[in-house]
Amino acid sequence: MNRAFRNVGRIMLALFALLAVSATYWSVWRGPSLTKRLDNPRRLAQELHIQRGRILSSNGATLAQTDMTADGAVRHYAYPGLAPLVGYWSATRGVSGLEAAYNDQLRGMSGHDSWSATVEDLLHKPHQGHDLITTLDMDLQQAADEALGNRRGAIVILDPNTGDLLASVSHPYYDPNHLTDEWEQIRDNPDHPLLNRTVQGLYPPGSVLKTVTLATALADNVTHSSEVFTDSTGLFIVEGFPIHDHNHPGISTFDLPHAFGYSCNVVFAQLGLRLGAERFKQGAQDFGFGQTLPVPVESAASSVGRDVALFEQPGLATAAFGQGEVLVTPMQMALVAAAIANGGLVPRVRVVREVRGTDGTVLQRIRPQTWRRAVRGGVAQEVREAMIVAASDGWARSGTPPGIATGGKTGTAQVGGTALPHAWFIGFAPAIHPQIALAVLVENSGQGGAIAAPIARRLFEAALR
Amino acid sequence: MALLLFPFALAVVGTVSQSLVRGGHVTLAGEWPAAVICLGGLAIHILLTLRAPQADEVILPVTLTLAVLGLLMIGRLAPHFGTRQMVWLVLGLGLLGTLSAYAGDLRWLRRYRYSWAALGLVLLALTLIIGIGPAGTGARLWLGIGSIGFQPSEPLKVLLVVFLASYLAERREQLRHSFIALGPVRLPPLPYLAPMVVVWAFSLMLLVAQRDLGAALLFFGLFLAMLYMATEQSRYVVLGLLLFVVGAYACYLLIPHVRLRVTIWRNPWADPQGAAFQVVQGLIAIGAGGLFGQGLGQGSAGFVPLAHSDYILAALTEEWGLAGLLAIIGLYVLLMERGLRIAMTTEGTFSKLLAAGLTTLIALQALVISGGVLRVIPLTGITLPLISYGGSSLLTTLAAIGLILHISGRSAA
Repeated sequence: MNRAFRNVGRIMLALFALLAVSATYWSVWRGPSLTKRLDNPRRLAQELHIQRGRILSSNGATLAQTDMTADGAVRHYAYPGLAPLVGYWSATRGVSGLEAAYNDQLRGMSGHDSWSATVEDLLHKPHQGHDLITTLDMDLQQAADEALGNRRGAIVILDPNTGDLLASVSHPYYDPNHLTDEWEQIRDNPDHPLLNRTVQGLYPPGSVLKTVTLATALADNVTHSSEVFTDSTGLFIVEGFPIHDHNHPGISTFDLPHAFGYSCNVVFAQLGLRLGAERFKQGAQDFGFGQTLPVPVESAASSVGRDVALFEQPGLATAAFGQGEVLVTPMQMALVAAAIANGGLVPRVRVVREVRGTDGTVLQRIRPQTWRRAVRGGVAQEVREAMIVAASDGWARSGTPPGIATGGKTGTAQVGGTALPHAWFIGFAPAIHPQIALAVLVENSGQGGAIAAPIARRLFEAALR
Repeated sequence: MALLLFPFALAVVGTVSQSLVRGGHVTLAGEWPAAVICLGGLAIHILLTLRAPQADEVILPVTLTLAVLGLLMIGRLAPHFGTRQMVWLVLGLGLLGTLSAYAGDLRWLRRYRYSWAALGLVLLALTLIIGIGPAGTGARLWLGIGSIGFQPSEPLKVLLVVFLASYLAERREQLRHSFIALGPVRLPPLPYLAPMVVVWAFSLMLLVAQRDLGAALLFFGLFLAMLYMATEQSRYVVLGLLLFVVGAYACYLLIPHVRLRVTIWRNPWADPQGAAFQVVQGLIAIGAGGLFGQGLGQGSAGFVPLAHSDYILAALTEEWGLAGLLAIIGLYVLLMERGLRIAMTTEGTFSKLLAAGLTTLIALQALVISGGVLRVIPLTGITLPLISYGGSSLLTTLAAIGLILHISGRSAA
């Protein structure tokens, strides 16, 4: 019998060994992926136990902060207008926007040595997150929110020299303080308040795209600033496809800057054809088209349309003045303005400039950086001058505050059907040594010069006075 | 003696640190569980030293360690259960002490085997008629007296081992060498097998009727193991395994509950919020433990259903980590090794088989529930011996260990 006992013992030992192997498998091999599962309630419990860091404006005003209550952490948002950019933090719904992009820092999980983390854990002190200092200028932000008002649209205000994001407006927005209560309404709202229109909304740009076409045409030497154009009829036929000027100024010859300022579709269609599809597309890509934006949050890539459309003459002609299949984000157009204002260099958008511990020590400094060179300095100068002409003599006049010289371009993007066009404006101020660059978009509202430009004027005033 | 210090220290450190985590302060009165364990353990040790000085010295400390681990976890997850478990532990230790010191020559077990078996079966049958299912899972496995629930399938296990040990000790030779010749084929000696098989089949049927499939699995394995250990004939094992495959497949086809368990086992990720919730949460808890665990009192195993009983292994792993789980496995292996060693060195067929059978019972039970929690086999609802909450289970296991200790005390060194 002893032999049998031994055998049974060996078999059971082998089974226990199998258990040990299985235990190691689940614990070590699958452990990390199991812990990350969304149905792991520990994550929620942990989230509620963390003193999440604050998000502050450039001047130190609190935009988001966490209070620890008996039920756990509660996040308060002081300025709902920034919700599309700042995002939300919800123990049950997750994070979005900046809350998501800087989640590790806000949770204090980065730049935090593991020894103090272990000590904190043992003593059960609520884990401290780090604060974010943003580049947002709350005066400008408020002015922009008020200027856009109840209308759907987006505004982006940048410092063209550093790429600092000074204001970000996306209407309609939602109140992140009531996210859990109103989740269904917010999610199902047909106007998509959760969308950050500045970086995620794609729209036909209309004439503001002429800035890119102009820059590309000058860079590729298919035209020059003193070229004179004649356009008496306001009509141009491309392979049987008619191209109209929408706002013919009434004079039939003008130089390139004035062709730009009067937003002459005919001229720009011709410039597009002179460039050809390849070079037109490349010129847009030099400004950043075709890629996600240099922003810390999720963004959409702007595009000049499908190759199959561009490589047809009518498609290329219409794309050259911002119709056809061209789709842009407001941020991309603001970057175009910034690049022109900044000697042809497109900056990276800086939203968070510092990460600080709660005791004020600077843990991380994010420096301004260049993203890419769109055009060489000389070309940028020429485009700048064209935009100054547009702002003084052209249809962008209504965007110019009295006493301040600016550069600008309006756009009226046709959307087809019976809907009103999108009103656009991009520009910079002051004309010499620009300090701000912006893009304004008001959805389905009318003419760029009538609707978007006056908003820009108010913002230039707010920024520079 | 020195080994006992380990569970004592564990009890003291455990209760103290749990008080700290809970409220941040320690009072002497609040640490009474630790005192009870230390005193109880000491008492048993003295009793054994006086009455059974040859008894194995490792089993008691290992048993206490496992029981303390269970107590600490239950006390933290469900304090009112923790107090009850404490009561059961004290009663169980009393039973263990009595049996280990005073069980005599075990004639009273050996002689009345049919009575014992019948008692167990009657109690089990009673649950089918008047049973209650306080856990609400639908399986009515308990008999209730007032507010105390008692699960007959637990003592039945020990009674069955006693019955088998006695029967096999007597019929051993016949079972080893006899056969019925049917032409060229040798069949096993059915007349000798019959009484056993009847008792065994009856138990299985009752258990399946009760949907206590874990116990059914355990009984089957136990029977097979004991038959093999007594006769050393592997043909019985082969036959048994074939029967098992056929039986298991039949159950799978006929019993929806079995199908459900197997489906969840094969792919729990398909329904993590529904039927497979417990399995998935258990695995998450194990994953959350990492190598060294979250720390005593600091896991959140409360998220796993039945974390204090069936799934206590997941709770323990979350707090003690992989290291803790491997240590627990090690403790069961140690217990098994000591038990089998006692079976090998003791004299007397009945004692040998009884010791081996009881050891196998405890080890198999640990294997089956751990295998289910770790998703090696489908989950069954049985307890982890000594650790899980459950009065009947704790009493039964401690009684079994008491008998093993007694047998070890009687054998010459």
